[in-house]
Amino acid sequence: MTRRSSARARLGDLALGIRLAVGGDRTPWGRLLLTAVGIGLGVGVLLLAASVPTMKQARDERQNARQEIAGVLSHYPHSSRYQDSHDPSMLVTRASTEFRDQRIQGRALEPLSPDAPVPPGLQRIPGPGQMVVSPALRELLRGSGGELLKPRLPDHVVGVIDKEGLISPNELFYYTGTTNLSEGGTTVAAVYPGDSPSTNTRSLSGQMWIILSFGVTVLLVPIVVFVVSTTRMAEAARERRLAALRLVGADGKQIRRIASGEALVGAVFGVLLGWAVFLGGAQLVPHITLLEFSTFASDIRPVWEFAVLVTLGVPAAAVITAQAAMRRTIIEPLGIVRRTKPSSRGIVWRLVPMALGVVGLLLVGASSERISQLQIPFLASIVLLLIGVPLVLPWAVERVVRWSSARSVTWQLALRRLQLSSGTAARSVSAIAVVLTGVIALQTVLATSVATFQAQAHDGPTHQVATPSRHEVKVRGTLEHPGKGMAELADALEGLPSTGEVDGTAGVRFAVPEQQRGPRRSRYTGATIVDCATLLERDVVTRCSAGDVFQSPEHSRRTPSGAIRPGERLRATSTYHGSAGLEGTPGEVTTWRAPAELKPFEVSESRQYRYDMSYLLITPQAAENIPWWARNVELGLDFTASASPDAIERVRNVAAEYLEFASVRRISGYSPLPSDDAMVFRLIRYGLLLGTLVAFALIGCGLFVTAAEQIQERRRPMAVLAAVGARRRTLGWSAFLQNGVPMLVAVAVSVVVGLSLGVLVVMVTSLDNLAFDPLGLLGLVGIAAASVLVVTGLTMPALRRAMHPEGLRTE
Amino acid sequence: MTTDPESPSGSDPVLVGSDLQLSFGRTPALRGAGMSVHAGEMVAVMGSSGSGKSTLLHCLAGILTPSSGSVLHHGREITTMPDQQRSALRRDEFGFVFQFGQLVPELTVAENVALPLRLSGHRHADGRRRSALWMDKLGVSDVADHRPGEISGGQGQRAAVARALVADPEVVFADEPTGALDSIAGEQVMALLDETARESGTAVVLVTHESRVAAYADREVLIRDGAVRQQESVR
Ligand SMILES: Nc1ncnc2c1ncn2[C@@H]1O[C@H](COP(=O)(O)OP(=O)(O)O)[C@@H](O)[C@H]1O
Ligand SMILES: [Mg+2]
Repeated sequence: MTRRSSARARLGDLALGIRLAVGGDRTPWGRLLLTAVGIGLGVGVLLLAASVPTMKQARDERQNARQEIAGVLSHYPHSSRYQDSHDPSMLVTRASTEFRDQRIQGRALEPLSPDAPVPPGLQRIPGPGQMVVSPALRELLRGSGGELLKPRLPDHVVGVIDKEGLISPNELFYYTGTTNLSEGGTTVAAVYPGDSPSTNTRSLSGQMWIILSFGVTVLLVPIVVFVVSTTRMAEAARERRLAALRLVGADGKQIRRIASGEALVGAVFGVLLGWAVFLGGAQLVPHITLLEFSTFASDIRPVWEFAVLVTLGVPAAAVITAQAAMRRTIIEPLGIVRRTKPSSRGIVWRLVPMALGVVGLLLVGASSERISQLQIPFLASIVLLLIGVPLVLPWAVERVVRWSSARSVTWQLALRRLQLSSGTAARSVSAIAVVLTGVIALQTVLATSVATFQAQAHDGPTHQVATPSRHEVKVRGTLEHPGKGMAELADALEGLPSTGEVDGTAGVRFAVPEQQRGPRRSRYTGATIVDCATLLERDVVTRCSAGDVFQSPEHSRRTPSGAIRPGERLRATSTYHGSAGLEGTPGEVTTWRAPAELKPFEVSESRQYRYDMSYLLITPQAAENIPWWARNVELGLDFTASASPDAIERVRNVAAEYLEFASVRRISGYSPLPSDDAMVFRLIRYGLLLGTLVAFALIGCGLFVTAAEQIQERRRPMAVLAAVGARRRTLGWSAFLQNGVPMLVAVAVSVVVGLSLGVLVVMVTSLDNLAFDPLGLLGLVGIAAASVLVVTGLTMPALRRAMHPEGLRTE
Repeated sequence: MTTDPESPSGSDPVLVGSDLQLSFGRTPALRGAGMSVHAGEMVAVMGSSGSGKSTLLHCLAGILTPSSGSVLHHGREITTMPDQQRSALRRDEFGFVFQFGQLVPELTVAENVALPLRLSGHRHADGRRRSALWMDKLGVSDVADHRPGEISGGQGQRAAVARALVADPEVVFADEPTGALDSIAGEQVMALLDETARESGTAVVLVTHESRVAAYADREVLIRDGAVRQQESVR
């Protein structure tokens, strides 16, 4: 006899298992396919999730490379830091505009020496009057709106920016060449030879980080649960099969290896499919713009350690689960492992993971560290809590089944069935329960975040000069040239075909010198330049003469800078530079001195004109030495009834002629361009919805296959029941209850645990404004209910077939 | 109660079960039954339904462990053996033919027949060759690539006989092998089992309640209420 070595024999057992899983026409292709698709989708999502860090890194790298040349606003050509060093090699200024709710960013470049660095993605620096644009911007210029956009981007397009100069494929970006930056602009940055890059990696806010990582975890755990539960589908059939093997002499270890082989098949198919999904998805991604988010296919590369972990870990998880399942039910040669009575399930150990999770979260909350420093314990606690749900479910289902009493045949059939197999029933809905729990918790955190955001938005003080809110469109910006004044701009705007009256003021932002007010940081305050006529006309003051300056007594309370003292020297800044501290061109006066007398005026909250919310009002005569570039123009205008939706683009074209950093937006229905946080927020919301739907679809398929298999397995008793006169309706209802009862229990457990988890996370992350999302909750419960109905509906044909007297003759 | 392990033929027994007791819950299935099996003989275990025939056979084969009593295989106690050794025994020394349902539905007939060889780690080619031989002997070669669901009951039982004999066992346990067959197919299966087992010197423990089937046996053991009532040689 030729016998193989034991290692090879072991492989042989595994191969036998694989052979059993794919057994020709008896192969449960449906189940195998479902397993593979389920695991495949899960693995695909995991790999995509694992690509996020690489993607972020790639985007950051390109952004930093671009920043190095075209983004540095910290190096000013006349900044004292560089006075004695080399001459700059290039001057740069930013430009940006909006077109039909899209943001277009650009840089104007003026090389001063031949060694001026070429921005990434460009072959050479565009000459004066030339422009190099991103592919998306080229399309936009070529498209139907090109005519309207052209006045703002008049230069001749000579090339396209390569991938390495862009953050994402749909980015609207351009570089133009110019010669007038050396004349001294307000916002010019200089690039010096040998400049070290100023890397500026934007990171998500702590709150966003919590929501994002929470969301990813919530969607990942069900994937794992799904992988685990698919390996335990059709247990009865497998047990029978394995018992037949036991009979002819397979020992316990062999059985486990064979079962592992079986489990491996679905998992390996799934992983392969997952890679296909991932690679296919990565190819599709550049063509998808989701909420202004797009990315290059080449940026989607999973972190390789994680890719290896997923690729090997999923089959390993499947094998381990199969092994664990085998350990519990000893397959005897006679197959039918008759358990005298299913032993009652203990609750205590089932609660351990949940309790650990709660303790973990409380500890994280109690710690003085920031949450983002405690990622691992924070997420691990959440995972523990989520994993606790499927552990508690079998116990809960058993309890409910035991409490309920059978009133009708329908109930009796369903309850007896559930009593015999409450474990299977609970398992089939455990993935749903995990998804529900996680999503309910996340909904709570999201709702709370929204409430907190809104609360913050409401009580932030407005320093900015606001235009009358009665207007439809607000134009803001800094004057571009001393020669082009606000009056000319207003005239030009009024001259447009569809605009009515234009109304405007100018504002100034002052930095209050730091040495006088606390160490280091400058404080800022806003002022409005407004003439006496307007002030009198609008009843802001009762007496006014040219050269007056008014200060509201509230100034000290309402602004960070506090009240301005008579005679105090303030530095004028441009609103758009934040604390970078623009120093202007040499020789230019940048300080403004408050007069000896500051007249009081009352700020009335009820006034229609919100511009008087500036606590400092300066008549033009007193503002003469405020440099032109520090004046932020604010105009309001209305469109006539006949104005087209593109009328605002014409306003933008005019504004671009006069203003730097012009921003032209509608006030009504005003929606700010999404900030990174807001975008991530929306991405999560949609991702969550999508993920939940996919998860439910998958789980629904699982439920369906389990139910169908059960009917198939119980064809004979069904046929017998039918033969003795049970009506189809009775059996149908009983099937519905068999699915419905565990689902009901799952929903109940999920709602309780999910809401508690949500509240816990809110507490731990010290968000205020705890809020719930009752509509979202109802929606989820509705989806769960619908899935039971759909699954039961789908199994009806199988049930009808099973009830056919034919069933009696099979076997 | 006569539980005489001594054999009529006098040679050393392969298997000796004595004083076996086993209850399922409150239902006693075996109450001190015992019997022996000698090399190459065919023993029929007879008795009415529920008398404990199957349970006795399962105990002798090491599938069930009696609550008391002993089963000796060449003098070695198998009731106390660890599962792994008992499995190995079933794999290498015993073969099984049951009423129905013992073929693995996912595997083809040929694969089913080769299963014991495969489980005990024989080379694939070796297994194929030997199973082909046995399928040929039992006349199921033409359905070798069919699955159990696609063949007749008689073909299935013959495939099961081939599988029981393929590993060249000492004892084949057959529990009502013809119970689900019509008389012609049953006759055919019994004739082949008888012929092939004798040819290879394999002992057969045949559980049946049909005297026509029992007629193939060398001797009969009659069991009633879990105890052996009578042993007699028919040949
Ligand atoms: N797994 C089991 N669980 C409970 N009772 C059983 C089991 N197997 C057999 N019995 C009972 O043991 C007795 C003997 O059964 P069995 O050996 O199968 O009889 P036979 O094969 O002679 O028809 C019967 O009363 C039967 O009901
Ligand atoms: Mg029997």
